[in-house]
This record gives sequence, structure tokens and C-alpha cells, in this order.
Amino acid sequence: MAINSNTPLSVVAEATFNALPVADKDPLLTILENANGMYEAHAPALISALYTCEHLITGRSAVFWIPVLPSIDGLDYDFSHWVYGGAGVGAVTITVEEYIAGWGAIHASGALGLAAATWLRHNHTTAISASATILRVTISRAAGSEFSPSAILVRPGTNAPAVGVKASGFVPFDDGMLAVGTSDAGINTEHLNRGPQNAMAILRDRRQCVWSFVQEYSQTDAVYSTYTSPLSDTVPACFGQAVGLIPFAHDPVVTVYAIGVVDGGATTDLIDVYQVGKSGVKLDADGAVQSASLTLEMDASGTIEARAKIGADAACKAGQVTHIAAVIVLWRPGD
Amino acid sequence: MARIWDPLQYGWSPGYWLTIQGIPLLASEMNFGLTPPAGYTDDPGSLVIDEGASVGQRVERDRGIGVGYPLTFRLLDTAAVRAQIKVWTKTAVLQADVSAVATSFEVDSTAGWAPGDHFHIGAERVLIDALAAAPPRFTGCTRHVNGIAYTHKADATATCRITDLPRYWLGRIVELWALPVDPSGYVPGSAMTDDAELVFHGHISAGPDRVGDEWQFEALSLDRVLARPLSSALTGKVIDTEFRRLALPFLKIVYHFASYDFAGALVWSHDLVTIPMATDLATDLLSETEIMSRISTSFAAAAAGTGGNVETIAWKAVEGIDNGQHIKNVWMAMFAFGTDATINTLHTRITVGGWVNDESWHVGGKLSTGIHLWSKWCGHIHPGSLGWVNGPPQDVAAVRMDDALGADVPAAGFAKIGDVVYEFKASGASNDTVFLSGLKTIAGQVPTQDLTKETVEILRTDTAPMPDLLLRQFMSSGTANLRSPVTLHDRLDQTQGYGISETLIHVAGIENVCGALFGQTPLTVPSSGQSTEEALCPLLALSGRALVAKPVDHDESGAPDTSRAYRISMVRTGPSGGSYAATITDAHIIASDPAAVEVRRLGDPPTRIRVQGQIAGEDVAPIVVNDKGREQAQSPSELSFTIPMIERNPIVSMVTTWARARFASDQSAREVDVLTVPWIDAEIGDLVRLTSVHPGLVDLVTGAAGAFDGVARVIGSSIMYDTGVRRWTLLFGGYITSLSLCPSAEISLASAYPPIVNSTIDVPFKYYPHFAQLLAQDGVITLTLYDPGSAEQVADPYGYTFDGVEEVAGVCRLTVASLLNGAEVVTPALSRLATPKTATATTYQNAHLMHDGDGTSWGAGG
Repeated sequence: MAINSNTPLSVVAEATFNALPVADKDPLLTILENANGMYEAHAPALISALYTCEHLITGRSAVFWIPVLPSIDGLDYDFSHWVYGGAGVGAVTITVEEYIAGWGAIHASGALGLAAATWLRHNHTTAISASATILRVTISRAAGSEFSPSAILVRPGTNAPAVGVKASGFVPFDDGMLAVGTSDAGINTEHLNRGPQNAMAILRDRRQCVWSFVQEYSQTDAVYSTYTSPLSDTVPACFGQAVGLIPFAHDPVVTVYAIGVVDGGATTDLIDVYQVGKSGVKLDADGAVQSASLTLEMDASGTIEARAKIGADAACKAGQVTHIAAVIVLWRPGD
Repeated sequence: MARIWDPLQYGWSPGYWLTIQGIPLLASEMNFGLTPPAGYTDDPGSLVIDEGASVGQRVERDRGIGVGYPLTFRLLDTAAVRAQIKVWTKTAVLQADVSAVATSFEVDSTAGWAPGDHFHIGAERVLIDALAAAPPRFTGCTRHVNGIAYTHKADATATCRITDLPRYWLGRIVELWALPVDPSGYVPGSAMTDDAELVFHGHISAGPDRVGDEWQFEALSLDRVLARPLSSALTGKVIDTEFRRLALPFLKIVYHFASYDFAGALVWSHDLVTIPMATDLATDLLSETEIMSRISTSFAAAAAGTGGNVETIAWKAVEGIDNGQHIKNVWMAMFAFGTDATINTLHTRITVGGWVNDESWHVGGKLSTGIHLWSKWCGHIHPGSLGWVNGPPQDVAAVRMDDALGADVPAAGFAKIGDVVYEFKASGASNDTVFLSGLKTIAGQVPTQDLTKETVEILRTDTAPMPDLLLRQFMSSGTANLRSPVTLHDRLDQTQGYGISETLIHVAGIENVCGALFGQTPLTVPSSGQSTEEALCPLLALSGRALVAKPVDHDESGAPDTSRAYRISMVRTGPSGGSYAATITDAHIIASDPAAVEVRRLGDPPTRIRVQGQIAGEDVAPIVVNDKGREQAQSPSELSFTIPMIERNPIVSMVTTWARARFASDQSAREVDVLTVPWIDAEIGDLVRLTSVHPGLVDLVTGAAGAFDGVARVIGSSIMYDTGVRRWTLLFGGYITSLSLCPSAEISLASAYPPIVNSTIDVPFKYYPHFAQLLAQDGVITLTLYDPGSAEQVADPYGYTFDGVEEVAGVCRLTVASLLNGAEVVTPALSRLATPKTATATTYQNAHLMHDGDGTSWGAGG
């Protein structure tokens, strides 16, 4: 008796079912262990972002705040950080903190070597708490050496399903009744239902990053703000537009998470995240994670190329400056 | 239906009374001496139903619906009856639409009417409280007297007439109730509803016709309503395909102008922020001219604050290149500025919803009033809203409606233009013209030909999972939740539903039997001009289900429904299933009738099943499944279905499976008509156990004749109201090797933790039939215990034996007889009880349930 996982998945041919007069142990066992395998292997990116930041930073750290909605199961996540090194050979350090009620470190890289004019990719596997709402990534390099934070990718790591029903609703399958010993157990309704229910639990629990914009949290260090916009400070500034892809989607509902900051004054509805030419949502720039649902009208809806162009603007009040620290747009199947 | 018929075996007889929607008269067979329902006056002896044939229905398996037999009844020509049937004397014409809850009716004149009068409008009867003038109207009205309320639409042609007596009887609801009458003629109770049971609910289809000295009516059963086409499509003709776009009320256009002198110093700058379509609705459709007018107006208002530095905006259509394409009608915005010879350069920046057009102009001190600086309109980022037209617009159509009902066109939906079905994203109406925009075919293509002069049908559609589609069609009345205050399915337009009250619909039964049809996968079905029977029942037929109207005595989970109300429900139509509702034995069969048992084969089973899928009424590639072996032996015979879908691929495997099941079972299935006494407690769609030595009945599994003992599906049931003889049409045979999945019952509660001998363990009620039969057959229930997600079953045997099973407060309660492996931890809402492995398998389990060796049963030897 054990909890086994099929990785890679063992696809059961449709003909297998058509040939059987009734349900059989073999495809059922395979399906249930496929669902276990899916728990291990399903890894949509929670964060996939190219940093918008100053090129060849020196003499300071680069700090990014990124909204997250991690798995409720407290999964391990595989992180990849890309940093470009300019002049100098100073060591790079990368720390990752999560915010729950306060900041708590979840990863410290130690000193990472980086030669001049080369790329560094730093990988680590780290659990993100289910209730974390922000990740803070700090990238530093020894004084006198230049660096350019480039990108971050965070996606579920290999999480073998352990004993016990998970908060996501996933129920690990133990083969004690179907495959062990003398067997001859009944094929029961719960086992038959568990496969699809587990698949749905996994898909619904692991959000997928559709669109992102991340720049440094400090307004002083950020590349874009309403102050740096060539427009006056009463006019919304477009921080970025890009195409988000959700293959085969019909009018999906995504959730927009944003962190915006002002240097003073009112914060209400200063951030506008929208589908270009369609509807959008307005969020407060109060330094906290704000979120709202947005229904996208996809181009090439229902096809593998289903896509939507999404943009983020910010406005400011007279005499004030607003900047967007991060926007992450997340989706999950079924929404 | 058995409850009212039970006393017949002790010498009682049934007595009947009847009501007609909107008629305050209660017609009864005799003077029952009971109080009629509020609002009705009893007219004893005025009802004659003995002339009626049998009443009941039969499931049409290939149509997915039960067909109820009509009821024929007569009313004696009494004074009370005559007073209702004679021609009306007071009349008025409705002048404005009235919702189903409004209490004021605007009419052309109130002359001749008085407070306290009742009037009839459609099938509704209304009590007037007061009259009012300017405009003339009835106020304080009490709605739906003796019936139900409707939405009423006034019509410019003055066809919605109000009268003091019914103008017509067709379509009115008829309810026939039965009461038990004891052998001495006494009826127990004090009110007519005390012990009455509704035995027929339908609609008048003919009458009143004078037959002899009586008035005769015919009524069709409730289920026959579902064969009535819903409102026909709105029709019209395309009159042009001019460019119209949805307004963007939140679109912000920002103009930045800055001027610099010859030294490069800033002279003046202005930021003009405009929201040109702020007063439009997102659903408004605007032409290019209208859009440009709004932009110009808002610009002028903003420019007024520049002290004359910025003056006007003007437009010019030119040809040009945009994004590599040759474009016609590129709209150029031309700005005019005030005279200022000190200015050398001008910088313009126009931002439209995030898109920036940035240009600088050298004017060299020649800036004067009237000079125009061009700025190509940056509309190409908003091709759906502003900007250019690339040749004739292809995704819009202006439609002149045939019946001036443009306002009834849905905001988005489907339209058949010519022979092609298009989806439209938005619509807008102006008088009798409707603008459709965002036209795309089902395959996602914009129209490729000029649509002008093509005929148009606006299709009303609904998209939802199958149970919701059905329930919305049944209940929708045009007034949100008027017919469904509890279940909330009344949400479509009046023309998209039958307006049947939720109390006449067995919602749980439909959701349970239908729920497995595609799960939550939505389907899109047109509801214009089609009936439920045409649009949705073929899919039910294909999957072995059917809609029926029947007294509901239990839901699909087996939980009892004590109301036994007559409702539209859904049943399975295959010959096999789980537990049976009643047993029919030779003791029940009317032995004196030589035709008491008549066996016949089914009609010619098909060799090919062809399924034509439709997406919003548009055909997609059909799915065809052949019984090749049978085709070799005989000519092909095809059974075809048309079903709604959204995508074809997910349907293919299901259709294939359903078709194979049909091929396999129809070869040996048989029908039998059995005449019995009336008090057998089963309804259409139920399984019954038939035990008979009649030589016509052959057990096709054993081949033995005259010793039949097996289950059969009730696909027809009727009763002669005069004799009480009940005719059953049963489907039996059609056996294929089919076993049940083993139950796995989630424990909700135990009387002790861990359970010990004599503890009770509660599981959902739906397991009661399984466990009750298991106990009846084996004398003991052996079940294994496991926790999903943990080590599932560490030993064998493991769990409990039970010697008691009962229904208590809606749950199935098991009593522990022994512990198989000592005390075990039980966690409510997690731990489950399932059938055990071979070592402790039971006779019932061996015969009926699947085990994991090869998917067959354990077999007789375990």
C-alpha cells in the first residue's frame, strides 16, 4: 500500500473504455495515480515577470514587491532569478521574503559569483505560505559592481502528495484497496469520482500568471512614475501594454493584483488595469495589494491563440506622484 | 398515484372535482359536503368525466418525453356554468404594458366598469378595486384571482382586450382532483383539499363544444405544453451595413499642446482632458459622424479655457498607409490655433486610451488663426471604436424589423442572416431599425459577402448546463422569478419560457437525473420557434432519459417526497437500474381480461444512429455510429437526433457510448402491457419487480417461460377513471452484462467514537436502498472502513458488520453488530464505508457489484 504517482502521466486511450463492458481496476488505478502525478507535476507559473528597472545599477539594492496568490496547500515553488552583471566581479545576493502579517525571510542565496558582462541564473526551491500576499525580492551586488535584475519565474515545484486530504480538496490516492495483496476490492463510487475531482482541485488551486508588470518598489528608484511621464501630472500615464495568452479561453475572468504607491495625498482609483479598447478596473494606489476581477474579451476566442492586450495606467492627484510597483494578472481554469 | 387508490381494495370509490384557470366555478361529480377552496363556488353534480377514456401517459423513448393522454370532461348546462360560458358584456383595451405584479391597468376607457368587477385578460382574472381617469385605468387591482399572473403587453393595433367574461378557453389550466369516498358515500374531512389528490394537470385544447345538452372540453396533459413552440423569431431585413460602433463612455482623450519661441523657451502649454462619450451608454451604437461630433464638442469645451491659444478641431478623410496596410478613410484631425508670431515650434501629443501620437511642427513665426496642423488620428489601436474604415464595414448590419419590435432584440446573441447564423456582440434599436455589431459566424469569421437585403431572424438563445436550460425554459415568464421565488430559474424573456410555476416542476428530480449530462458543460440552444420537445428532448432521448409529468413520491436519491404533487420530472428510460419501487404479482393482474398480459417486441431497432449537432441552430458535422454486424444482415435503418452543443469534440465519445448501449440493449428488449388493480405504488419511469407465471413472459436470461421474476421499467401508465383498472406498459429484457459500482458511503455521524457494538453510524439516505436490500438478502451487512487520502484499508477484514438499517430524519442509520478488526478511528465527513474484499464478500455483493479483478462481479462463489 502506497501513494504512487504517474510522472509522466500515463494517458489512458479512449478505446480502453469503449472496449470494457464495465469499469475495471486497470484504467481506474492509472487514472487515480495520474491525478497523483498531476499534483506533482502541474506547474503553471505563479509569477512570470520581466523586471522594468534601471540598467546597470550600482551602489544600491534593487527591491521588488510582487503580489502573489499561492496554493492553499503551502506548496514548494521553484524560483528562477536572472541577473545581468555589468562591470565588476562583486558577488550577488538574492533574498526572498513573504508578507503575511509582517515580512518573513523564506530564502537567502548567500554570495553568488558573477563575472563581468555575463548572466546569472539562480534557482532555488522554497515553500510559499498559503496566506502570503506579497513576495519581496531584494537583489544586491557588492559596491562598485554593476547589475541589472532581469526576470523572475516562480512555479510549483515537485510536490509529492503526502498522506492526508489537502486544503485544496485534493485527496491523495493510496493503492491499498485497488492494487495491494489479494486485491478483489470493490470498484466504488468514491474512487471513480476522485480522479476528476482531484484534477479539478489542482487546476483551481494553482493560479496561472497571464500578464505582469514589475518595477522597483521605491519611487526614487523606479523607472516609471507619473512624474517621469512626459504628460502633466494630471494626466494618466500608460505604464505598459502587452498581450496575455490564455489558449482556448472564452471570455475568461482574470483577477488583477496591483501594488501602487503615491508620495502623498489621495490614493483612490489611481491605477487602471484594462483590456485595450475594452473594459478595465480601477484600483487604489495605497501601497497594499489591491485586487479586482476583470472579464476579458479574447481575440481568437476559443482557439489556441486566444489572447487579449492588457495595459496598466496610473493617474495622480495635483502635486503628487504615483507609481505602479507591480501588476500581476492571474487566472485559473474555470474562471 | 397509489394513495388515492389504496382504499379501493376495501370498497371505497373515487370522487372527482375540477377547476379551470381564471374561472371561479368548481365543478364536482357530487355534493361532497366539503368546503371548496377560497375563491371558488362549488357547483355540485356539474362534472361528468365518465365519458373519458383512460388518463395517463407513455414515454416516447426516441423523443425523450412522455406523452400524456388527453382528458375529456363535460360540464352540465347549469346556471353557474352557463354564466361563465356566455358572451361578455363589458370590454376595454389595454393601453400600456403591465408586469405580472403591477396593480394598475391603463385602458382606453373605464366606461361601464365598476369597483368590485372582475375582468379577464389573457388567461388571468383580475379584481378591480377602483377606477381612475387621465389616463383611464383600473387601480388597486388584485391579480391572479383563481389562477396565476402574467405579463401583459399592449399592442398598437389594440388587440389586447379586457372583458368581464372569458373570451376564450383554450390554453387555460385544468386540474382534476380525486377524493376517497367510503362505501356509504361519506367523504372524510371538512375541506375539499383535505384528502384530495391531484390526478391530472393540463391545458384545455378544445371546447366548450355543445354535445347533447352538455358542454364538452378536451385537455392535454401538462407535459404536452412542452411540445408547444416558444415564440417565433423576430424577423426583418438588412437595409444597410453602415459603420456603427459601440460607444466607449470611459474613453479618455488627452491633448497636450506646447509652443516654443525661437530661443526654445516655452511660450504656452495646455493639457486638455476630454471624455467625449461620457454621456453615452456602453451599449449605444454610434456612427463615425456621431463619434467625431462628440470628440469635436468635447474638444471645443476644453479649448475654451486656453485663452484663445487653441481653437478648434476639424476632420478630413484621406487615404494612407497604416500598419503596412493601405487604408481608406483615415480620419485626420486638424487643429487650429490663435495667431502668435513669436512661436517657432509646436508640439502636439494626443493620447487616446493609452495610445500616444506624438508630433512636433515647425511653424517659424507664422502661427496665425486658422492654421491647421494635421495629426493622423491614432485610431488604429482602437479599431473597434474609432479611426479608420478598411473598405466596407463587414461586421455590422442595420435591420428593419418586420413587426416593429426592435426593443425586444436581445443585447447580444445570434441572428440568422440569409442562410448563415452569426453571433452578434451588441445591438441597439431605433424605432423599427436594429443595429447589430460584432457579427461573426459560429466559426469566428466576419461576413465575407454584402448582407444588404438579406432576411434576418433574431434568435433568442440561452446558454447553460442542461438542467438549467430545461428549468429556465419551463419557468421563465418575463418577470424575474415570478414563477420561481425559491429556485430562481425564471429569468428569461416571456417569449423564451412556458411560465410554469416551480411548484409544478420536480426540480431535484430533473437536476439529479439530468445532472450527469455533460456535468456543468454549457450548451447553447435557440429558444425561438422551437419547443422544448424539439430543442432539448432529443438529447435526453439519446442518453436514455425523458421528461414526464407524474405524481412525485420520491426524488432520485430515494428520499421520500410526501407531497406527491403532480409535476414535470425526468426519468430514465432504460430497462435496468437499481432498486424497484413496487412489485407486481399475479395477484394484482386482472385475470378476467384475456388481454391482461400482452407481450410485444419493440419497433425495429436502428442499425445506425445519426446525431446532428447544432450550435445556436447552425449545423456542425454530424456524428454517425453504425451497428456494422447488423447492417450485414439487413438493410440499414437510421435513428436520428438533433442536439444542441457548444463544441463538437467533447460530445463524440458520449454519443458513441450512448449509441452502443442502445444497439446492445434493443436487440432483446421487450414491452409488455399488464392490466392490474390500481393500488400499486409506482409511477412512470420507476422500476417495478414483475413476478408472474403468465406463459407470455419469458426470462431471456434463463430462457424459461412462465416463471418470470425480474425488474422492468414503467414506460407507460394509465388508469380508467370509471373502472379503476390500471394499464402498465413495461420495458424489460434488453440485458447486457451490467453491474453496479460499489457504494462508498461517507460517514456523517457516529453515536460513539470509536464505534462499538450497538453504536449507530449515519450515512446519506441515498445508500438506504442498497443497504436495505443487502441486509434483506444476506441478513447482515459487512462493510469495510477507509479514510480517503490516508492508507486505505490496512487489513482485511477491516470495518464492521451491521444488523440494522433504517431511515431516520433523512439519513440512513446503520447499527453495528460486530467489529471486524477491533476499534477503529472514525472521522465524520471523511471516513467511508464500502463493500469489503473477497474474504468477507456477501451474496448480494457477489451477484450485483463490481470488483477490481477484471471489472466483473465476484461471482456466486465469491
